[in-house]
Amino acid sequence: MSEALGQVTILDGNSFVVSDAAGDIEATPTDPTGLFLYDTRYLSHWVLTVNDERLHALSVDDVQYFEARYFIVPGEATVYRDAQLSVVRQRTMRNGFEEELTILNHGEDAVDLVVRVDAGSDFADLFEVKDAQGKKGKRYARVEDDQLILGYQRQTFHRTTVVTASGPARFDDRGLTLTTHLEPRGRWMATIRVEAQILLPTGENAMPRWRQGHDHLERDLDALMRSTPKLECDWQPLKDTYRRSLVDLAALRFSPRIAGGQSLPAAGLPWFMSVFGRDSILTSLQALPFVPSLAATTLRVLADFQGTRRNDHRDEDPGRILHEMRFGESMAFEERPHAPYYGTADATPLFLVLLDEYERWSGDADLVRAVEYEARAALKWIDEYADLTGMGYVAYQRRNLETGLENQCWKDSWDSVSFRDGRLPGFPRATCECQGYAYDAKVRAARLARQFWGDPDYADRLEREAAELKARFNRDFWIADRGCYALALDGGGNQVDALSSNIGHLLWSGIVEEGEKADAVVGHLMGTEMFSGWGVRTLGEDEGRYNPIGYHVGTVWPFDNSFIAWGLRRYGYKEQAARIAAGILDSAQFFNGRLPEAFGGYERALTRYPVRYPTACSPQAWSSGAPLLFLRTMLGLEPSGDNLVVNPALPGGITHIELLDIPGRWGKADAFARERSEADTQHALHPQLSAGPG
Amino acid sequence: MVHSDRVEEFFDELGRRGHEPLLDRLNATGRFEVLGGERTDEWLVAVRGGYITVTRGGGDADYVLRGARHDFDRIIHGDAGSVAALVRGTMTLSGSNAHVRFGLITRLFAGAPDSRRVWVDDPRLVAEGQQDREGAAGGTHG
Repeated sequence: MSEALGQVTILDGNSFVVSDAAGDIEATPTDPTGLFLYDTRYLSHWVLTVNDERLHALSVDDVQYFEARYFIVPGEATVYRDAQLSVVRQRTMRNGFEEELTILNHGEDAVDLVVRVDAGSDFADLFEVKDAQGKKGKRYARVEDDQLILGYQRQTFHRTTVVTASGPARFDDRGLTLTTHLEPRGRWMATIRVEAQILLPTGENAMPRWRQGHDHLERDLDALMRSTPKLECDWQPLKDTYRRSLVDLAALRFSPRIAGGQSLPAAGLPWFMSVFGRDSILTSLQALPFVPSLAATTLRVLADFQGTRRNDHRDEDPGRILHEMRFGESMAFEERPHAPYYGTADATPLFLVLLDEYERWSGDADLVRAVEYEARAALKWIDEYADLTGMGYVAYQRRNLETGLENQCWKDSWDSVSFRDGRLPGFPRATCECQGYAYDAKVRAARLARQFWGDPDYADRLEREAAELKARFNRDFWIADRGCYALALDGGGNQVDALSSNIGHLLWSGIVEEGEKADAVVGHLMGTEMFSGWGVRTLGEDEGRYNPIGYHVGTVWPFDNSFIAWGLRRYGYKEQAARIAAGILDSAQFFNGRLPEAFGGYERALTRYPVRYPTACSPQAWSSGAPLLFLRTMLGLEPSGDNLVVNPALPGGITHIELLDIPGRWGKADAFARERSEADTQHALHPQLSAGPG
Repeated sequence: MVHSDRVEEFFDELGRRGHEPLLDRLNATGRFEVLGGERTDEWLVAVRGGYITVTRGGGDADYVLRGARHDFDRIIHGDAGSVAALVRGTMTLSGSNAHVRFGLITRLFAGAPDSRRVWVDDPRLVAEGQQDREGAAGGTHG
C-alpha cells in the first residue's frame, strides 16, 4: 500500500509515471507529474471519467515498483455515497504504460456506460519542467487507424505518444471514448496502451525496449533477488530495508542503447533519471558485494564516453569521466550541455577507484586490461587538466559560465563550499575529498599497472606521486588550531575552513595521517556539531551557512554516511562506524525502509524522528545503495586474494547477522556475525535502535 | 571545389594516424555516409587492433553513420557533440550493436592527433608515436 493517498509513482529504469491517487494526470508546466521516458514528458494529461463523472481513490496498491492498482469510484471524494460502480485501474510500465480498466456493476440495475479518457502531452523536456521554459517546436494530435497519435516535432527531433485500446473505441484528438452496457453484477474490461516513441527521420522507432511488460519485469526482479545474498538477522527492520534497497536498485536499472542490453543505475527519481558518472560509480561501489554487474556496465559505459577533447560548453577535457548524460530536447539542441556534460572533479578519480575495487571483488582481469588506456588517460587528466592552480591538487572551475556547474564535487549546489563565517571562496576550488579520491586512485592504479598492465615503472611512479600528494595534502589542508582538514583550498591556496562531512570521505580514501590527525577527524565526525544522532551532517552546526534543511549545508545524506562509516572501518574505528550505520538504518524505518536522498540535520533527541527534506529524490540510487555498504561495513567484508575476509562489528541492538551467498572471485561465500559475549554487551554502544515509528 | 573541405581533410588525416591506443577496443568497420546536396560521399573506416585504414567509397560495414556534411563538419571540429546529433536525429547510426560501440566510434572525431597521444599516460606509446610520425614523414602520404 502506498503510505498515503498522495501522488503515486511507478517506474522502470529511467521511465516513470507520476499520477494522483486515482491514477489521473493533470500536470502543470512546472511539476514533475506525467509519463516520462528519456528525459521527455510523453503524457501531461490523462484523466478518466465514467458517464462524465471524475473518479476518486479508495485505495492504491503498489506492490511492485512497476505496477499500481487504483481502486476508484465515481463521484467526489468529499461526499461519500454507496457506489453502485467500482473501477479498478491497473497500470504497468511497458514502453510507456499499459492500463487495464475493470468496471464492476454492484447495483441491481443494468447500466449504460460512457468511459472516457482525455489524453494530452506537452512533450516537455525535464529541464523545462525544472526551470519552466517554453517550447520551440510544434505539437500535434491526430487520429489514425484506431489510434491517437500525440506528437512533437522540432526539425529532425520527433517524439510521439501513441494511444491504442484493446476493444472498440472512438478516438478524437483529445482522447478516446469506450461505451458498454453492463448487466447487474456484470463486469467489463478494456486495456489501453500508451506507447512512447523516439522517431528517427527514417521512421524507425529508436526507443530502447528492455524488460517489457509485467511478466518480463517480474522475471527480471525475481532473477535479481535470487542472485543477491540472503540476509538473516535478529533486527527485522534491517531485513526490510535490505529488501527495499535491492528492489529499488532493480527498479532504477535502465538499459540505454549504448549499454548493449546491460543495465546501469539511473541516479534518482524524478530529476536524475539518467546516466551520472559520480552516482553510478558510488552506487556500483556500494553494491559490489551484492549486484556486481552494475559496476561492470558502469565502467564500460563511462570508459566509452570518456572525454576526448577540450570543449568549454560541455566542460570536457581529454581523459575526463562524464558527469551527466541526458537524452531530451534541450540536450539534443545543445541548449543544455549534457551531450554528455563533463563538469565533475571527482568522477575521474572515482572511476579508477571503482575499477580496482571491482577487480578485487570479481577477479575480472579482462576488463582491467581492456580499459587500460582509458585508465591511463584518467590518470593523465588528474595531473594535467585538473591541476588548475599548479599546486598539485584536483580543482574545478567551470568554463561553461551559462549552464555549467559551479561546484563540481558531490555537493554541487551553489552554496555548498564556504568559509566558517559563511563567505564563499573564489575559484578554482580544490575540495578535500577530491584529493583523497585522487590519492586512492593513484595507489590503486599502481596495483593495476604492476599486476595487469605489465608496467612496474609506471606503478612506482604512481606510488611515489601518491605519497607526495598525501604529504602535501596533510601540510596544506590541515588546520592546526581547529584540528581538522579544510573543506577546500580556494584559488589563492587559502584554507576554506568550514567543518564539513567531506572530511569523512578522507578516511575512506586513506589520505589521512594515522594517529593524531585521524583521531581528531573522528572526534569531529562523532561530536555534537556533526553527528545528529541519526548521522553525520553535511555541515557542522556552528558553521555560518548551517541550515538543518539546507540541501548540502546541514542535512544528513545516507550515502555520505555510508562512505564515512566505510572510512571509519578502514582506520579501525569499528564502534563509530557501527554507530553511524545504526543511526541511518534506524532512520529508514521512518521512510518505510526506503532511505531518501537526504533528511533534516535536526538533533535526534529534539525531533525524535528524521525530518523529511522537502524535495528529496526518492528512490535514489546511492541512498538505496547505502544499506548495502553499511552491511559490508558492519560485517567487515574485505576481499583478500581469492578469499573473502569477514571481521564484524555490530551496533548495539543487533546481535547476529548472516549474509549468505556473497558473489565474488571466490564463487559464493557466507558471512556470519554474532555478538561475542555478555561482557561485550556491557561495553557496547548505547542502544541506538528504536522500536520504530509510532 | 566546394566539397574539398574539412570533412575530406579529416578522413585523409584519419588514415595517417598509425596506432590509436584508445581505439584498441573498436574492432569494426564503419561506413560514413556524408550527405551534401545531391551527392553522398562515402568512406569506409576499418579499425583493427587500434590501427585505422580509410578507403574512399562504399562497401560492407558493421555500422553506418549517416548525416549531413554540415553536421559532420561541426562534430569533427568539436562545435557539436555526436551524442546530441544522434538524439536530435540529424545523424543516424545503424548496424547490429552499433550503439554499443558508439562511444568508441565518437573517438574517431577526437581532437588534435598530438593531444590524443599525450593524454594517454604511457611513455611506451610516446615512443611508438614518434616512430609512427617518422614513418609517416618518409611515406607516400600527402
